Amino acid sequence: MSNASSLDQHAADQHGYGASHPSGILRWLTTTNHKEIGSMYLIFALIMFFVGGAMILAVRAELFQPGLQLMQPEFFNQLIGVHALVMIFAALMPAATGFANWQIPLMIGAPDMALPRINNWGFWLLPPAATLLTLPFILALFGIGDGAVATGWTLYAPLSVQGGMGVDFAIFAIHILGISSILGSINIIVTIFNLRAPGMTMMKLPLFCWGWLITAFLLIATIPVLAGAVTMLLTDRHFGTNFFNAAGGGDPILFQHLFWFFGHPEVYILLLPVWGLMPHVISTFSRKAVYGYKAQVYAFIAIGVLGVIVWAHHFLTAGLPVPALLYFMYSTMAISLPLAVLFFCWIATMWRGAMSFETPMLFALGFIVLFGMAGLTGLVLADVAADAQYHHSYFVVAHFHYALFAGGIMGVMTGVYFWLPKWTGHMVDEKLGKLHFWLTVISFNLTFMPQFFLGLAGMPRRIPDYALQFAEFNAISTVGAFILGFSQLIFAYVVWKCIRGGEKASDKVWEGTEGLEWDLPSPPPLHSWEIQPVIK
Amino acid sequence: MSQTLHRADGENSAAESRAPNFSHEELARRRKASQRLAWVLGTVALALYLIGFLLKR
Amino acid sequence: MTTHANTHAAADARHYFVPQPSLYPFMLSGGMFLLALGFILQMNAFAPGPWIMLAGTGVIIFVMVNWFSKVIGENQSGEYGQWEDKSFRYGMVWFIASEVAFFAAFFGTLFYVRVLSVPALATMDPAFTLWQGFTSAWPSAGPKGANFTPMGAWGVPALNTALLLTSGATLTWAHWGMMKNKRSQLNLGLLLTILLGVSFMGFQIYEYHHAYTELGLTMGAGVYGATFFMLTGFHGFHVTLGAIMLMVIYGRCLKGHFTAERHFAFEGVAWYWHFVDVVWLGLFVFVYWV
Repeated sequence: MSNASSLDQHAADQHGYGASHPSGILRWLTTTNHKEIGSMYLIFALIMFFVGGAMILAVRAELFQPGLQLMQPEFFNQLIGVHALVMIFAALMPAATGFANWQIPLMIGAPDMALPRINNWGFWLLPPAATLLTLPFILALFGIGDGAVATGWTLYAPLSVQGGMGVDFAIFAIHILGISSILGSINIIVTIFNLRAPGMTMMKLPLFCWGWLITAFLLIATIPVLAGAVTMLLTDRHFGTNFFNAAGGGDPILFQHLFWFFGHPEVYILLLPVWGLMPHVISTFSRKAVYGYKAQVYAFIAIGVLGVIVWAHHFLTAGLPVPALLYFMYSTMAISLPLAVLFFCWIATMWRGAMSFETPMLFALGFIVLFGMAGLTGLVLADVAADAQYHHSYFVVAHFHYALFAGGIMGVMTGVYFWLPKWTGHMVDEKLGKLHFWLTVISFNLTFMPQFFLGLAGMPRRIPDYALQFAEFNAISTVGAFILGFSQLIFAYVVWKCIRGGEKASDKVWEGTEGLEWDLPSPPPLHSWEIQPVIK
Repeated sequence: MSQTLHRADGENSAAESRAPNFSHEELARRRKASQRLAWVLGTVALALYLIGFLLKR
Repeated sequence: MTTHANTHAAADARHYFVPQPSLYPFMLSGGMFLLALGFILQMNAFAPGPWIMLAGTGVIIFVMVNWFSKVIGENQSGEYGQWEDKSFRYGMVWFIASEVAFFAAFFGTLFYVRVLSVPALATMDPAFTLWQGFTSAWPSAGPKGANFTPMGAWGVPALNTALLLTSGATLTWAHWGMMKNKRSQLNLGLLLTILLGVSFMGFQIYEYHHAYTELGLTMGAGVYGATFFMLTGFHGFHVTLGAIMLMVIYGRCLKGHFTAERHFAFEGVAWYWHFVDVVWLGLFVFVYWV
């Protein structure tokens, strides 16, 4: 944060904004500036990334060998559920929102986000929500309650109806996180619709903004449904309703429908911002214009639309009627078409490009290869007949970590390495960045590749103990996970080092970049584009 | 890698960049290389597909 | 992508209002945290729960009053132009869109149980069902639900429909008054709208009392009672919010705020009220009537 303060001092002098600007901690509590709020989002995401990572390392340590070594099954269940909730809601989503806050106004030539106080509120809802998620762990140490939510992040009824106080904490954490997401989405939509620089038509909008626009629509359409679902869960738990109880005419499967009506679009909510930033990175380091801009925009829209009508492929084994199975299988597979368009465009952007391989480009390339595996294994899982075997196995765990770690987290790291010089005014340490990349890629595959084989061999997910024949692959996976986890400390160090100082970055930063944000100084002043540029 | 000075006045300076500014020959060489690599990867992918197609269990 | 910019200022450069730093959002988050924490503790029978809830509610109300006062003050002192106005309009539209999605979850639940889960319970293979002889019908409390009498459509609910539809008309009449600068028509229309909304709420309270004491229709009355109270309850909550919003803009109208050209707050509240109205029509048809 110290970097940002120095740049702000500079900017405050320039813009006469300093007089009423509180200093110290108050300044971060009260700020209405998109850059400061963006920084808070990103720092919060980084901290929660390590919190969620520590939880899953404990899980992997338990799974290092068969048998129960370190913890009781109840605690194991709490760790996996809270790991997922933290990583999805408190690490990946805030990171993407941090990108949006920093980049969208810079990219579209806007003076700030459209609703700055709402923007601040959206961020400051996150720490209370994260506290609610993790507080039950601490309360349990004092003998209050029985720990955090132990149902997995999916909160399936009836287990969640019968669960302990941790479920209530999770329900309200989800409510608050949902409000935060909706506020952020409204802000992003309004900013993109109303604050674009004169002359920037929607078809000149940078792809990152397009990706986030579709994300915001998805959030507004689906987060309230999750809120409704967990509200019904709450009333089933405490107020005697029978939404998810067959004896009262309800249905536990109804919860799965409602949850995944949110849960599947959530995958695209996490990935669309990354798909949006990829063409910027690939085009920069290929020194070529983005290939297929329009095709990518239409692919985003197609994925957004298809994303909300395929949800039941997450519970194909729950006993759905055959016509429903066929519909959800084919519609799910249809998503691979627009996704293939995106892959084609990324690769075509590189085709005959003068490529160089700085850290962000390495992460982008790693993303394309590994996220491609997520897509291909997803096709396998969408197949109703095959899914009967793979459902709820480690194959699924491996698949969605290829999607959300290699797709989501590595995508976010691509963005951080790409934009950090613009934000801080300092170049990133390339040596350490490359070290971080290679350690991440190798240990990631070491962790999750064996899990495909474990799943194919029949190891179910979400269990603290397993049959002996799964021992070797689990040991390999745990070793990989620890290397992966500790390599991320390099990332934290690189970020910290870049904020503190380093080689000065030029305004353009990278040789092949294009876009409004690169016309601003590095770092940009606290208030940029107060007078909007005109796009020709 | 040339160290460039940061301009305090905030004026845009398009020419300066810390990333290597490649010469024309180098750019051309890299364009060729990326094209060559694409053909190699495409061939490998096609070969894998064909081998998989012909494999009988 | 063409993003070649001319960084020279446009001649008619616009200035967008970016507010000064504010502590209200942070305080509001804190209030919501306290409310949630207190509610969780209360539901799990920890003594301090209600007090923490009370503290949270106090903070929330304090912030709402002050934050909205500040925004109204900024508006009246002319800080917002057409550009900011447009942002507020977009923001309200997408906020209402998220509310539509929220109600869609409950309507979806209603349709799911009526079309799928209750009939499925009645047509299960006798070898696999716990409840042989259960026949599908709607309203239903399921195989093991409590006995209850469903709420008829043509008594209080029909009256409430009339009240809400009329309130939508009076609100539009008030809007016309504002557009034609007839302040008395504006004020009277708003007052009528508020009175109609409050009577609606009164009848809802009466209906709930009737349901619990005479019909045996409670939240626990199977899936009918659950969907009935979830849908009407959240709708009633939104009517309450809408009525408070109407009262605020009524107070502002009495103070002479809003002109034919500048009246975002009025329109935002009106949109919200019409949205609540439309949701009620859905409720009347699918919860009470068919």
